[in-house]
Amino acid sequence: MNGSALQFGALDWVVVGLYFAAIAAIAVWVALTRERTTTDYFLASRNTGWFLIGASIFASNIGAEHLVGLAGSGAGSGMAYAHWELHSYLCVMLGWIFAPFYLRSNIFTTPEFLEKRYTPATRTTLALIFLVSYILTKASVTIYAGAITIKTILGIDTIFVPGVGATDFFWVAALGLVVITGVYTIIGGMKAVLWTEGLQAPLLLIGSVVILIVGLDRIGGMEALRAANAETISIWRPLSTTSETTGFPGFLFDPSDTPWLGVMLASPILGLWYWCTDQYIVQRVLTARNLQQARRGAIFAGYLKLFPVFIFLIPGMIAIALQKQGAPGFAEMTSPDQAFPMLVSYLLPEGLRGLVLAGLLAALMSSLASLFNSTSILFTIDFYKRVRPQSSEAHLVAVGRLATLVVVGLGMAWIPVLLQLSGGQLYAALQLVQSLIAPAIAAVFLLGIASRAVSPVSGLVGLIAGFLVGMTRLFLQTTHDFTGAVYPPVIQAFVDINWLYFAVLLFVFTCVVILVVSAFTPKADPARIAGLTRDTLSPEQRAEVRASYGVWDIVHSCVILAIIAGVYVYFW
Amino acid sequence: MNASGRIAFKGLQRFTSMHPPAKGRATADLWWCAGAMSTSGERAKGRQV
Repeated sequence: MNGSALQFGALDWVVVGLYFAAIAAIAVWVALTRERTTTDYFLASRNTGWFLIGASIFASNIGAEHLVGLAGSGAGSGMAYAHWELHSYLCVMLGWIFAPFYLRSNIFTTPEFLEKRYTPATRTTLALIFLVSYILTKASVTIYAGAITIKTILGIDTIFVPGVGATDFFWVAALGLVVITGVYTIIGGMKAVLWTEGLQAPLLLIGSVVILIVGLDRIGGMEALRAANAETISIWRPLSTTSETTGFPGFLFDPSDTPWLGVMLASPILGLWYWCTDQYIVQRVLTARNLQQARRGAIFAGYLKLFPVFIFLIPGMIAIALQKQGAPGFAEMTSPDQAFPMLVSYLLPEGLRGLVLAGLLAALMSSLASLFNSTSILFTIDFYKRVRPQSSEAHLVAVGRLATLVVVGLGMAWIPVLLQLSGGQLYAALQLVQSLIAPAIAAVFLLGIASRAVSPVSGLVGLIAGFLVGMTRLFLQTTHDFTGAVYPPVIQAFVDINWLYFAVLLFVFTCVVILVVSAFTPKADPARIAGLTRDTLSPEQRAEVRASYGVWDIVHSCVILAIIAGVYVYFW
Repeated sequence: MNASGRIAFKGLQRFTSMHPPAKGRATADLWWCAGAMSTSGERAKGRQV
């Protein structure tokens, strides 16, 4: 094996070729079905079943960086980061708690829900936050991570492009993948996204599952895994014990990324934002043909989201075990971060390596396609349609296509721009935006559906207050990082609080703001928010929800929760 | 990108940075980008040292 690159044989390339052929076939098939309305284009005619919904949620979540990066994290840090991969319980929560409200309100986007529950300005604020952050952070990072992965795995530095000359392969990979993904997303809309992801989700699982099975067999099972990773096997990591970071409030300044208390409290909050309120994930549930299918799709996604711990993190730990056992080839492994190419090279035969490469491409393209479509719907439905309410459905579909095209272009254009500014560190700052706004969004949605006592104005005030606090920290933090500015102790403490504890405090702060403002502002007319909060459901709506699930929905949800609990117990 | 993605991205950045590109600048760029993952915790670590 040479460096980080993998060696691929003819059979591997045949597999990759078959993957692209299948994607093309699906794209052509979808393109032949005319999409006349925005419901057709953005929500696949609201006629999707549970399999495609679950597969799409999972494929959107997993990017190319997960396949490579998490194996390295598993090898280096063991189970420390597993909490973030055990968010299946939030998929279950999406299906049982949030989906009924979303489907009942017949929305296209989650900001639209905030208009119905709170005020139009709340919708505009959230849609703007989503739209800007999708274009500035998600699009560029997804394209970047995907292209760099492909370049490194294939081991191609430069490639000759006729008319251009020798070109960095990064740009060829980025442009190629964006164009292919962009074409079928623009033409086929959500239906193309869902159907291709129905293929991509299993594909990105197969190669990794084989690595897990072969790897565990090779090292001698889970006990050998535990023995070789004794120091990193525990899922809980201690709090810092230095004199500066113990006691109150010292513990808030824990320098670790994985203090057990911070992870335990912050992980559900940040996860609630991502899995239950972010348009990127929720849009898939909105395509369901009914509540039953929506819930089952979310439950299926919950099952799929159990996989990453086993197929990405544990294989990293398998690589460490193989290295310690002196397995052929693994002695060359000088860093835990080489785990992924080592595993693929030494555990998989030709053909299956191609399947892994196809899985990488699938992970990248599915995340990109979802992003393009979600950004397009936010612009078209939350902004354009409101400014021009008389627009025909056909016109809005055309705008949606054009918006997708613009997002594709902006995603590409943004990468070099960011890299020119501050040597790429602005990119770093922008990445923090979402974790800093997430707690406020989670609070606004959670309290919004919890009680009608939460007033319309409070949602907007809470969202803006939480946003401003988060952005203040971002500003102070980046200024401190870039210029070395020194602040008075109180302000410096605000910047230095561990990001996990900061997320928890911001969530609590936003909840308090919402509740205090609610106490002093008029409540919503019960008729206006009927069915949008837990305590405004009519008997008919309650009966409708009860009729949408059966005993197996409950059993499967309990199985998911039991598996999560089992993982926690096993890796305690 | 959620926390899971950021953790994965960090790993990817470490992975690619092990083999600095002699020709392209993409990996070096990624190195910068991965400052993206810097957290107050990591800065605090530096401060402690």
